[in-house]
Amino acid sequence: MEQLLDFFGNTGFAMADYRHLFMIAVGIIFIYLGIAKHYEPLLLVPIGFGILMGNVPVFKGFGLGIYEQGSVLSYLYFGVRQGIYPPLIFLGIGAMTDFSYMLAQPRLMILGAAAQLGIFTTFLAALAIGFSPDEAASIGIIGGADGPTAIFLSAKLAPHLVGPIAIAAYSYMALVPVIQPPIMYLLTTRKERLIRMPDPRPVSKREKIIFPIIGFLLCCFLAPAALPLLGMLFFGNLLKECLVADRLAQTARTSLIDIVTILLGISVGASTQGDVFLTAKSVGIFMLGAASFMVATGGGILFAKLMNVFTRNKINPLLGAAGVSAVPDSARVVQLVGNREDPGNYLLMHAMAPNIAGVIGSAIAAGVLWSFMM
Amino acid sequence: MYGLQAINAANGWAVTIAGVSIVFTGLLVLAAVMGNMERFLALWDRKGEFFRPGKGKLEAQPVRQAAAPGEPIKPAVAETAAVALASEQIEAANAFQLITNRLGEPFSLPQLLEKAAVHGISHPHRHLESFLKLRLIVESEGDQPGLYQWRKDVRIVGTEAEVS
Repeated sequence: MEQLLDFFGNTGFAMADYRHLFMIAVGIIFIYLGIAKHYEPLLLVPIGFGILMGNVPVFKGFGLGIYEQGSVLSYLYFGVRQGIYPPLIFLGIGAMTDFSYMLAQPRLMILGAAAQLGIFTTFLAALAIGFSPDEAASIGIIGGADGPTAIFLSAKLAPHLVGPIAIAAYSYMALVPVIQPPIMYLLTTRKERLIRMPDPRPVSKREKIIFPIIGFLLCCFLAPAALPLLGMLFFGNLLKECLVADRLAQTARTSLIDIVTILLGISVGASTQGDVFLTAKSVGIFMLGAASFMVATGGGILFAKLMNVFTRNKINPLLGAAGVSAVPDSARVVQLVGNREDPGNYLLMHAMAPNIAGVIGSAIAAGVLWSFMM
Repeated sequence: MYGLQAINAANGWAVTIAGVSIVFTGLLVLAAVMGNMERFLALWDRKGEFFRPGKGKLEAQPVRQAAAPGEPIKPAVAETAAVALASEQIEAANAFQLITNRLGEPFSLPQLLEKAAVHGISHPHRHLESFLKLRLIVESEGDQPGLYQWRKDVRIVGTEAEVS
């Protein structure tokens, strides 16, 4: 009888409290959103299941929990803690991204820069409500709308907040079609939304090969701390464009990115535990995350309107919203909103330019914040 | 600490201004460089013009053959014919050659087009048609009908300068 009681005392049923149950419910909701609603399924399903794995109550000392040295989950989490997984994901992203939309219309890259205002305004807001500078920088980067970048920076600066920050970042990325349109309608007139963009010029293969080399050197000389992320992004793109390393590019954009996404998702999810997630700080992170997306959208749109004051060839200001680097969702939202006003206006390929530039801009911003906080 | 006091204590304003400036500078410079890249590359393609008298198509330069002592010097004979192509076509030809180097010669045209499409070469069908019409690519002779190869006795030159 005593042994039975001992056994029962070591089960999850005996050790569970309301925090475990709440987080398990959160994990199930994420899995539901990923599978039934198709909200970022490649991320929400691993993260959701990881939350389940990380919140099953286990007896401390058996080397089972993610924060226990020597456990399997802690070895998988090593890639998050040390900032290894995000650059590998960027390698895959570079190998699957076509930068020609951006190269054809270089002035639209500036809109990608403008949208990163969301990062820095959120950083200031986070400082103002009492977060430490490291935490504020990690929260601010949510405004970059780039999951790997957010995980990379928060793993370096505020590892205890990786879980809530990653979940906030990916949740809001999935909610881009809900967050952005009201701001787009608020900040633009009908006349502006009807602006048609000229067809982009064809981009030669040589330009597509030269760009990753020049882009990497320019950006990393300016912000050396962005080297792990931008180095892998541009390297992946060079593999794709150079034609002679097709096997490597194929591996980077398929098997490698899939493997790393699985490991990243499951370990980030498992690291999100009730004692960190169910705090006032998490509420603050979620509120600031929403604000950062809104400010980033507004910043991009307003900057596009400012550019129109000085340029003869007008830019459709909706493209500024695509500077929020949730690729390709925010570009699709721009296409939808523009199409609603004028069914003949196809903005998607134009919107991809600031969208992709935003990825570069958010990586530079992450490097800058990391170097300031070091 | 909260509010402006917290921001000032953490140098928030300086970090923000510096950060925004660096992000804008980086993307502005990149945009400026890539916006002018097409012009740089066109100038690079025309670099030969700065060193040669006159412009226009270049013909193959005849090669002088060495003569034995006492023998008259034979007039040089052009060993290869030259075909002038626009820079876009030259780029496509170079890309096609990279692909055919891996496919091996003789190669299948559908396979070449499939690889060209996968590698993002623009207008592969149009370029291939022009190369076939200009007889840069010809059907392989011998016992492999339906397969093609590059002509070895033809040299590709630019319309303004020699590039290969």
